Amino acid sequence: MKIAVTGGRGRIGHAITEGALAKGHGVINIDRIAPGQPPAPNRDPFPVLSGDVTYVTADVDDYDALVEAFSGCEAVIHMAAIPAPFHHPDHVVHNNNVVGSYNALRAAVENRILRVCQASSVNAIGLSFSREPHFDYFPIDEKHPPYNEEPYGLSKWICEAQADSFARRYEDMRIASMRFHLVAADRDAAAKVFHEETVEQAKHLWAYTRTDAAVDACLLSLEADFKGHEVFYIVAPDTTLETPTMELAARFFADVRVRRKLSGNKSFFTSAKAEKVLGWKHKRAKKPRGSAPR
Amino acid sequence: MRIAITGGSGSVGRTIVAETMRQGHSAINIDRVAPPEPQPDVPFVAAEMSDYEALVRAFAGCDAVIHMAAIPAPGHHPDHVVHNNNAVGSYNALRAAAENGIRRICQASSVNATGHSYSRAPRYDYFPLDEHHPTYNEDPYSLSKWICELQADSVVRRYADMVIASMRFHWVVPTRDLPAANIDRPGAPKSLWAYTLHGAAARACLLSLTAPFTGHEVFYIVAPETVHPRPSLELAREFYPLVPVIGDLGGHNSFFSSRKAETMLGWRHED
Repeated sequence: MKIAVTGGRGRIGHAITEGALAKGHGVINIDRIAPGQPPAPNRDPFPVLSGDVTYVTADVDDYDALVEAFSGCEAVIHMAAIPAPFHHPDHVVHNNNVVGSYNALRAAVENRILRVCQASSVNAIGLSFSREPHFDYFPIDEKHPPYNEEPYGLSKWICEAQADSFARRYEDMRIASMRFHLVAADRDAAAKVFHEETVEQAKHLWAYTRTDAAVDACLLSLEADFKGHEVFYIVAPDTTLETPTMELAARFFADVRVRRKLSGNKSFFTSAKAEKVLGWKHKRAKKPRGSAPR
Repeated sequence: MRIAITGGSGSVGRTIVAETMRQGHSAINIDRVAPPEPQPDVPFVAAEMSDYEALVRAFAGCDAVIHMAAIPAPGHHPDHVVHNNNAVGSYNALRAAAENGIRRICQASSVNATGHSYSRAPRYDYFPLDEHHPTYNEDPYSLSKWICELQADSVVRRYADMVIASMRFHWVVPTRDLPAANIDRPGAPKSLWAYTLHGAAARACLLSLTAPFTGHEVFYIVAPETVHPRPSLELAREFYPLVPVIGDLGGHNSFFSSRKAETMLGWRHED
């Protein structure tokens, strides 16, 4: 099918474009950064891909440009967003993201596109960017209430509320909101970021999402059999640490109820819903355990 | 108190400006357009709600903000214009208040936050409606009002001393005449024959700036009775036979309960 990918020149968007092309899909790759340009200062640009891919330069706040870019597509994967708070003023982060997600959803409707996948985040409920974590229970699933307190997490919680509203109005639409954690090439790369057993790193719950697993999930969500809008945790089944998860829970989150024993270094998040509904699996790392750099 | 009022040139905003002055406060009217009638002693600041820096400047020195500026309905602008204008405006107003250390905020939400007049066929789980009712909004205006409440939830988690009241007004009118003249229009049953009087809306806003509560609270601010001559239970049976009635819909009682506002704000619809 023909898939419009917003944020297509970002890390995840580029990988999705590659993955979609490899599966024989066509891609309209949309980003505000020109093709072949670095996605951010001090970053290397991603190569311009060949094959059934068209590069469109547009800002997601330009609704009419999105409507035009989505034309002829059967699905939209909306990844474009400011990916964290604090690098821009709060209102810029929030406004950019909630306008972008609304525009993407509405421009899909305008083009009668029925399948949409959008990047939400584990931060929708408040996590990495909160002053203190606030978890009601482990493992965290899609029913956990939100405690977001900064503009990025809020914007991701709002993109899900937007999707709820669209799915009610346009009953044939299928929208998947993907709650990714730190998207990294592999567990070793994630372990370079999250390897300290400290209060500060505990906020992140030492979790990650491998890039290829994120790509798989997005593409599967466009064809999976579900109705309306669904939210999915898309997180690796293990942590970046070797320390047993129950030990970490006892040490850092003594007050948080553990509803199901987390054996070994199982993740604090459960992605069981994505496994069941999307037929997705975050495949285990190929390398043997213990190879993560310290 | 010195109160910044956004949308102070609009129909509800003008009443709030007048009530603010009548109660001896001072007011600043911040709006895209100047008020149609002069507002004596009320400085006017021309600003778009999308202009965050302008709001930060306009709120400086104020003790409270009443944020009313919004596109008040879907259908007259493209969907994305309605949603984006309103969701950006409410975030900017809340964040600009935080930037100025302003702790008391009142914002216009709407009975539509849960899906109501602008839904194809509104879904009600029970009557009378209260603040626990889930949302089934499906249009950009109603969604934007639901979102302004989510924004307020998030802002008070971050700024623990901020107090925010989200006011779910119904159709705000100067008298009952207009809604009363509309009871037989097609689509009238969707409105549940409800309304909010201008003065009652304005008094609720001002009460919400001093009432003793913490964090963010949502309040229905709706007249206690319908404008329909027929008893409410009869209307419920005819138009919503499947919706359970779990509270007092006796007489002409409204399909909305504003009891929370009565209890927490000490507000009554009637003056």
